[in-house]
Amino acid sequence: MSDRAIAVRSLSKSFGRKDVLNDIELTVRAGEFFSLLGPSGCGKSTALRIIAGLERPDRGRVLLGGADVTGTPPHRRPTNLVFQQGALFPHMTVFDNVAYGLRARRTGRAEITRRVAEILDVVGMSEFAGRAPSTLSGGQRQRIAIARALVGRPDVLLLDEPLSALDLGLQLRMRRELRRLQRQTGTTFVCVTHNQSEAMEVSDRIAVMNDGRVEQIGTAEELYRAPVSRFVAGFIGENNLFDTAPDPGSPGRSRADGLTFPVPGGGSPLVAVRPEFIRVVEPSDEGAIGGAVVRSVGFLGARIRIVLETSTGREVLADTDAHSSTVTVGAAVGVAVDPAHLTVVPADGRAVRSEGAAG
Amino acid sequence: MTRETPAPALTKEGRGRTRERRVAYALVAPGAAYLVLIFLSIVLLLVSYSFRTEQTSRLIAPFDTGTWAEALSNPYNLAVLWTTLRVGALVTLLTVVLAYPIAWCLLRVRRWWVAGLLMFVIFSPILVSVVVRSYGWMLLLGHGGLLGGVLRGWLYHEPGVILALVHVELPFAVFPLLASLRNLPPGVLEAAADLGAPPLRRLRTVLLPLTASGIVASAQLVFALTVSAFATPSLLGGGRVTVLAQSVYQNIQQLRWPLAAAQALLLLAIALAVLALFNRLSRYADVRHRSPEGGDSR
Repeated sequence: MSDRAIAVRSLSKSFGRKDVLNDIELTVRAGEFFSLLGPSGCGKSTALRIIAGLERPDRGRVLLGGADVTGTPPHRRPTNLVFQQGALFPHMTVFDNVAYGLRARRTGRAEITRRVAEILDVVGMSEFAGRAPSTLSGGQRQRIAIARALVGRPDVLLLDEPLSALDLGLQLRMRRELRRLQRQTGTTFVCVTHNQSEAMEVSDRIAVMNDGRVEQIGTAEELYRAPVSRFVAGFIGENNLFDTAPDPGSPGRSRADGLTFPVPGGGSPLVAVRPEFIRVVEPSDEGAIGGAVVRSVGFLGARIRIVLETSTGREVLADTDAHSSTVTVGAAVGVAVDPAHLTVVPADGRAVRSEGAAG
Repeated sequence: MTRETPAPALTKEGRGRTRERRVAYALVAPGAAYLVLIFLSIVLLLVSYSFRTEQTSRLIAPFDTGTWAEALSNPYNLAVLWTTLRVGALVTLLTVVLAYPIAWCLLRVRRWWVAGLLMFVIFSPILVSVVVRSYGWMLLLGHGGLLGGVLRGWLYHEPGVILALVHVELPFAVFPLLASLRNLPPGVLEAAADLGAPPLRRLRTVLLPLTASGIVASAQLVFALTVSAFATPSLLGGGRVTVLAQSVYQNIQQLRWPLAAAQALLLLAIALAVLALFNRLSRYADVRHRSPEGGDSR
């Protein structure tokens, strides 16, 4: 297989009048755990289904391992999909479900028995071979769905919201399981999810999608530290976003909501500061970029979440160490920001196209 | 106080439920009594007729099995029986095979008005009297008719009867198929395709097994309606194709009540036997569907 497992080129798709995908570009490397992350309706599932061959694009191409498969039907593609609800065959046993793809591809009987046993062992479901899917729990069914898709050793495993139907505790366990499976089998995984913590925990790289477009592609850290658009800055993690305007009094500074930010180039950029980088100081502190009143203080365990309100009534989130904080509600305080942790988000993130932008 | 409230609430609910059930039984009772009593009394009457003899148009009392011997051994009667079964089987097979893709397409149509139009076209035969429809087929198949040239010799022969019966029964076959196709679990066909199964394999291994109950229900309905069909085989058979229902009618006209009764019972027996057979089949399909659900069957 070539280094590029999947290449998606200027892919567009609309259902009726609704544009679901708008000129999508993606490159997934072989052996990578890649996630498509975005709110519901952003087109991520459609993109996945087009890669699987279950949906036809209006424009654009899909290349798998360098070969153009845009017109290839799903049963002739080297991909397998794990469906959101599992889509197990209810009339077949677990064994027959997992063996289905091997039988369709005319694998020998002994080989089928061996490989089904092997993959059931990998997902920890060996004792369930003779059971009907309806007798399994949600998590067990999802494991079988994954085993069924993996047993044929696809070049690429596609996963459509594989964990969204599971309860939270199980989701957390299955995340690690997915990552382990991906490493163990060396298969390229492309996973669609709307759950950012899931995507950030398991993925090598993430493509953030919004409204049918790819906003940014990068590692979880790149997306968190250097968002290239307003959407990514607001969608990944929590953020304080400020639409600033130049400060007439002092060059190199921009103002918003009663706060003055040191912005190298000046002008009116979108400024983003994570709650953990906002410090609550004495009003008279030299480093303060403005004043605020403490509206509420919430104990979150390791951290304390402080909600501040600036002179313009704007809410600002600040997180501090739970063990050293002495803030009281109603107090007038100063807001301080370490310039190193102040992010200037490019004005039009959409203009920044896909890879290279972040990495 | 607060602790006591659930108990009376529960009893009230329970009482409400039994009351509901009683009302339901009361509502069902007249219809059920009508069906069961009339059906049973007719069957008993027919049984008693079939064991009596008839002399100069009057039934006489002594018990006699001669009628049954005639119904089951006379070559003509056997031929009628065989024709009934053959036509029934062929019509059932053709109708269900034709109805399946129709039901499939009906569920796939997205535009509501196209779906509505299709529904109307498919179910319109029901709106027209069987006699009118049969005459229509006679005109189509007859000399100088639209299909008379292509399907020469079908009218007044078995193929013509089968053709018209398939047309008559088609809507009845579509109903149960629609229901079972609608219940197809989402994603299973796409999953089969994704796992490498080409279309025919998907049909054989996923679609047909998962809709088996609908296929069986559809076949049962069509078979039961076909073997008891009277007007269509009479008109399109032109006297050359005789099925049991016609034979019963003829025997009544000739005042051979015992034979008519025996043949009527035979018709009922065939219908029941085939229903039972299909039920067996559908349970078989269900076992494949559910057998491991009963626990660790291995």
